[in-house]
Amino acid sequence: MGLFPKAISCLQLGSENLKKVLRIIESYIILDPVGIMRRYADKLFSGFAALTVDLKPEASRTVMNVVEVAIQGCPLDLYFATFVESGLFFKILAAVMDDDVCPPSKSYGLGVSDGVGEYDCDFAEYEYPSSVGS
Amino acid sequence: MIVTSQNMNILARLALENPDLLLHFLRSVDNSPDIVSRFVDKWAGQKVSPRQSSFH
Repeated sequence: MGLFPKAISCLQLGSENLKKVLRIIESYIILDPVGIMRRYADKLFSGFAALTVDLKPEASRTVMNVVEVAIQGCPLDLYFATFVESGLFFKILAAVMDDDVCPPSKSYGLGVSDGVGEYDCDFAEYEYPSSVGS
Repeated sequence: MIVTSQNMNILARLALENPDLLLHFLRSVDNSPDIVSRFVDKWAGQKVSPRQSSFH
């Protein structure tokens, strides 16, 4: 289990290493999705959010595949707060909605720190319906 | 970021589990009245990249 946080740290390495690192991360998530996400969701999503800047389509597809595997194995309330706070959720939403939907002041994908924590207040202001988290 | 089937699946998961939450965040990026219909239109018409990966 001690390898997993090191694998997250390695996400910023070059493309050949990235493939291997993503395989390691995906394997850990498949083995214990809830345990991994409970302990490392914040670091994982933050790492992916930083990684999605200027990724080639093939690499972007692979990263999103790992994200999908991660969220499929967990209840929504376990990961969603960190998913939003990392900025990754908004990058995905913006990709689907296209840039013309987003206000000019809210830029996406221009730098590692862009989007990370940018929408924290939106999440904090949201009141969960009673069905969430139960 | 390119739009892939994984992107759509991630949003689909949220839409199924908590549509109110998705709506909340949709409105946080665009508060126009027709945001929901535009989102559905984009979603329905979105051409996504195939799931295939050279790694597999």
